[in-house]
Amino acid sequence: MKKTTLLFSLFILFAQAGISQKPVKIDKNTFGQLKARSIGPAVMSGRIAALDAVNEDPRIFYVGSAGGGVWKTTNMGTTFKPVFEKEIQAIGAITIDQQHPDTVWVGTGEPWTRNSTSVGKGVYVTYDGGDNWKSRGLDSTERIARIVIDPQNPDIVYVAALGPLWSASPHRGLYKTEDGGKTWEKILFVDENTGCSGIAVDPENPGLVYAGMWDFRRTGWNFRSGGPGSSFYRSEDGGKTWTSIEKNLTPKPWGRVYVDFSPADPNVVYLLIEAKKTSFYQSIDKGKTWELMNNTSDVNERPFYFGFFVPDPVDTNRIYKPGFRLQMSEDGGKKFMSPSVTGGNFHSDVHGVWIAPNNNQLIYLSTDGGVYISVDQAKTWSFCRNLPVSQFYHVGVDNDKPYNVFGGLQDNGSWISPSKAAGGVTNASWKNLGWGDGFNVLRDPKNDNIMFWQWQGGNLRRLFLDTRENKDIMPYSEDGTKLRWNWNTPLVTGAKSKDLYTGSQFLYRSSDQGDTWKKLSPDLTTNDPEKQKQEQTGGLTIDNSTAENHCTIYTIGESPVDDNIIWVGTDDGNLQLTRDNGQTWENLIANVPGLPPATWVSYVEPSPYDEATAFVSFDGHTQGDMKPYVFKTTDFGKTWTNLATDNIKSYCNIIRQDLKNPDLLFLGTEAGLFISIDGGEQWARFTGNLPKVSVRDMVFQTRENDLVLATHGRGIYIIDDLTPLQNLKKEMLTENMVYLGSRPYRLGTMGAHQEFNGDDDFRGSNPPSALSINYYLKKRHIFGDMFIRVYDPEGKMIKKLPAGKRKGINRVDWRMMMKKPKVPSSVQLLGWAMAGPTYPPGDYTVKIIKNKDTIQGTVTVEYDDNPHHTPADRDERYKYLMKAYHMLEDLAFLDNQIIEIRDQSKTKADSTKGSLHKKLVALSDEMADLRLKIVATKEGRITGEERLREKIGNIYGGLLGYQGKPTKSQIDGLEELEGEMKTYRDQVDDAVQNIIPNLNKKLEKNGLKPLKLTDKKTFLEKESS
Amino acid sequence: MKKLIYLFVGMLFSFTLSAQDLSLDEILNNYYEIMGLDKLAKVKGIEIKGKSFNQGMEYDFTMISVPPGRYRLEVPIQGQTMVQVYDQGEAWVIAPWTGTLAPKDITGDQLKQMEKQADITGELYNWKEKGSKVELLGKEDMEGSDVYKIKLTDKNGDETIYYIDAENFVILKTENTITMRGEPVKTESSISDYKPVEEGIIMAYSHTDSYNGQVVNTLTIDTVILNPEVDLSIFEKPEVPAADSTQQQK
Repeated sequence: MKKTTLLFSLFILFAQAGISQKPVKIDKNTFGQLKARSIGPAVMSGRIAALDAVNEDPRIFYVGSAGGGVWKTTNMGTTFKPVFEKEIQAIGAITIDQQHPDTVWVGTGEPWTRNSTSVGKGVYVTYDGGDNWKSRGLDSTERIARIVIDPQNPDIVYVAALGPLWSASPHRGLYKTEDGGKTWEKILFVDENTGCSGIAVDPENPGLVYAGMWDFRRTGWNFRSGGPGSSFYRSEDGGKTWTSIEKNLTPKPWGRVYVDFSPADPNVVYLLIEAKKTSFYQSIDKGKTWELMNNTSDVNERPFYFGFFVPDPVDTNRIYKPGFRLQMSEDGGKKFMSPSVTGGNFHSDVHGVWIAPNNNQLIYLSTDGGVYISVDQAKTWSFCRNLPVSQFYHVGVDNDKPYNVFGGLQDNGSWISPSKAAGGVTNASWKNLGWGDGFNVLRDPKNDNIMFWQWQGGNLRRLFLDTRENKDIMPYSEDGTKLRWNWNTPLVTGAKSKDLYTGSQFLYRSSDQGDTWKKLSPDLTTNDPEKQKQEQTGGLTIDNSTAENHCTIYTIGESPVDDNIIWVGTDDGNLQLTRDNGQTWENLIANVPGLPPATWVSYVEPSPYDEATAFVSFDGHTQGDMKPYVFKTTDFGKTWTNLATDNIKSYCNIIRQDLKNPDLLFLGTEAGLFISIDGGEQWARFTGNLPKVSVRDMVFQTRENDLVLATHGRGIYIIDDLTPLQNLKKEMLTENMVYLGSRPYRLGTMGAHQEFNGDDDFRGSNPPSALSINYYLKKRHIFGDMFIRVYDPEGKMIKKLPAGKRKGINRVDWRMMMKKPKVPSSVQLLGWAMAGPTYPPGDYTVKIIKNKDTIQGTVTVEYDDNPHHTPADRDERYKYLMKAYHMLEDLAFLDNQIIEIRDQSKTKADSTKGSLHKKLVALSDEMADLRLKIVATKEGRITGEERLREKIGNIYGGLLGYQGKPTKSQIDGLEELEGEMKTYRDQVDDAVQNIIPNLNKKLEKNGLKPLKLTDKKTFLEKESS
Repeated sequence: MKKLIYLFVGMLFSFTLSAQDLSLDEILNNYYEIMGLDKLAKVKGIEIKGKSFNQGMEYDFTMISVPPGRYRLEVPIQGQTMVQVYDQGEAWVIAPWTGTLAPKDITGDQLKQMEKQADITGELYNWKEKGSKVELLGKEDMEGSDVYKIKLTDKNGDETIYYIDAENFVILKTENTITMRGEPVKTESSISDYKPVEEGIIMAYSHTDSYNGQVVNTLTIDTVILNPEVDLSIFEKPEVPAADSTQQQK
């Protein structure tokens, strides 16, 4: 019976192997261990929408980034860690339950409703200081302005939901929970256009609640702050009933309304109302009566962006009014001035202020450029240089070694950094290129000294890197036509021609670095006059910054196959194609099925494989349409297929087709990166170290085969070496194990580096300096052996490595180092000899062995390009390095023989007498003396003692650390030491050949066992050195 | 050996049939059974030899455990040997490269870690007697495998999350937050290469540890000997600095 069971179970196992050929779904696990690498930057940081700190221990605070998630510090900003990695990264509000500081509420979706803002997805709470988060619903509110916890009952929480920015919605207003967020009641709702922008709860009497309501709307071409819904309410029963208040306040219509109690005196309430005359009020009777304190421009800086104030927690007359700068009043708001006289150096645009309730000297500030800390009441500021929440619009790369990464950021100009650097990519790696809001940055492919960069509204500069001089090369109108430039105007290098392109409503092309522009098109937009009233944008407070410029070209793509073929997409929903370098144009948009009218074309990607094929992503979010649209054509746009699938939960910013595998597609969405390996049939989110952040741009670095991502909230990420993704075909997914290959491993050095910058500096990681072994596993390996063997070009097995065992793609990195040399034993470690040499170039075979299955492949190892070393130099270096390596091992063997002779002859001497005793003692003494010349033997950490071992070790270390030609001194030095070693070797050989055999005979005569020495082979093979 | 594998396969099969949502006790009992922990709990000692792969470096190690609560770890480096011993509540280390051969006492968090290390059956086995609490957090997908997520809180209040394969009832991964010099550090250990040691006992021959998401170390086991001959004096702390044989003078 037992036998039957066994057979049956074996049968089942085999049967399972047989029936497993059904299609495997592509999901996030398909990509397995593949990870993106963050290189920051944190040097300019990014927009911070909210922050809150623990009153009793202000060293602990949370930072809510507009697009980069929640970050927590426990050491007052020396270090931060991201704590919201699984959720949407757009943050609007953070509130700590001060009675239980591990309870923190986060409202997603920022309330500072600029054109480039992202979207949120409801409310979250953690009860363990950020380790775990629970969704608490309100998913459709899109953006949350403020969260207030009832001062007496932490289960009661108010959420001020602004609601959707781009459409009417019932999901806005003031929400309240009485059960910690399990259920919500919308306790104040005005209409579908009006959200809640301010909420204040009386700290003494939590039934008294004030709410500010804001009627607002943004479109692609207009922003409106203010309308009939804007209003101000009072409730005395915790929000059950409300009274509208407007008597004696500035005349309606109003815009954004904000209200707060003074933490210093709960009788004092402040109120800010955006209106024709934006007004700031103070009440000293809990809001029964209001006194106008100020209606100057001091309280009316961009209300949609800075519509709040912060009362001092100690001094009721001290109020902070954030704006472009931070203003402060010492008389309850009558007059405002800067709190700094000599200091005050922080990024403009303030969105959050936290003041320690027990010490109003300590202030945290959040801005468009990160977080600042003041310990002298806002006079001077230190910058938290470790929050990589930078908001890129675009990214580019060049072909330097290592290649550089560059791009422009929201309100933070344009920057460049090497993609890797000795010690990691740090703040010091990033250099500024241009000012303003930054967008596209390009390196001229024809002249290394030239870069191009932009600021908002199409402004374009040519930068000479050597002299840092900038030339204005923006195209101007030659016939008086007003040119319309998008906030985020396209600027691209032609994939085939390497010409420069930009676009207003017209397309421009230049082949002389912008000195002359050829107008290649008529107006390619709808030219709808209703969408061109930017001089009226802003609503109550005019705000025409080019952010609403519309009916403009937004994306340009020259075919990599034929540079007469150019695809253009506009923000007002035109998709245009020329096949004759601009002589004729065809608007293809009517051919795109199921696309709502006027949907913004976010990216055109002409296929590098075929001139008739292109991919286009569309983004409807500025019409309130958050759905993904990704289309493909193979017939010059006559017909289109929608590639978007239901699991893509957000609108799409960019689609790229891989340069080596046409079925490999990368889709940048507002909520992370999606990848398809089957030409867009299935998509899965890439979760390898990349949160649900807005991916705005992507570029391939062809030489390194990398993908570089621009995120709008988490800076730049690099997926190093796309080879495994490029080689993973859909039909392979059903196989148990597939070798995927890797780019050649290039032997070189990252260089040396020393710095002691403290712990508050950002440090991005480098790509691994290692040979990568990539393979796919259908299922996680659990039972039996799984490991990797590496064979050198001659077929000799040189390394056994642990394997990666995850489902999906596994990446095992091996630094290709030989085992470290065996060295003579000593209490002093020989630091240089802790590493073996790297194996030389060649084709190495790797075998991945999983129980009885083996797959194999080849990895090519090459010298990297180093301008200072010829291959012959490097071969010579390898030769002498190996010589030093073997000398260390020879010396180790010599040392071992000396010890064996010394100790054994001493032991034998104790059992003998007479001349034999004397000879043994003499031999032991001789060896003891000899050993002192070979090895440092003093105890203690820094003895400075140097013997032969240390001298060879130094030359070995020198050779190991440099990739090129050895010095003559190193070569001669080795020879000299070789000679010295030979003297000792001869001395030992003499003992072994001439003295010991005689002694052994005599020992045996005396009935004693002879001296027995380990041979070299056994010694060197002995496990571990 | 062949017979062992057959038995092993048979065990797997019997569990596959019962892979559905189970209670905490059922999950743990399945886990004890497939691992053979009742049997392992009766061994007098265990000797494990293997390799540690650490940032491109490779070290051999030998670990000898004698329950209850004793183990000795040896790692040879450049002709010297690092020795780490845990002996029923006390621990010490000899690290020759610090310039001395004198043993140094181990205290604090590292001592707590070592106490766990000395428990050869693992802390889930007989958790009640060990003063721990165990909670089933649910069933979920972990890197593409269905797993039961179990939280163990030990007598010191330290928590470990165990991910137990819902199909085969072995541990696929553990997660800890350990405190290193006052700083919480998330550690993760991926466990695999389960193989029979002898009839009725299987062990994991591969452990890959990550700190804060970065792989720092992989341990692989080459040989396991149950009930080895052990002289208990190897757990005693040397009174004086261990004699350095290489330093014997005339």
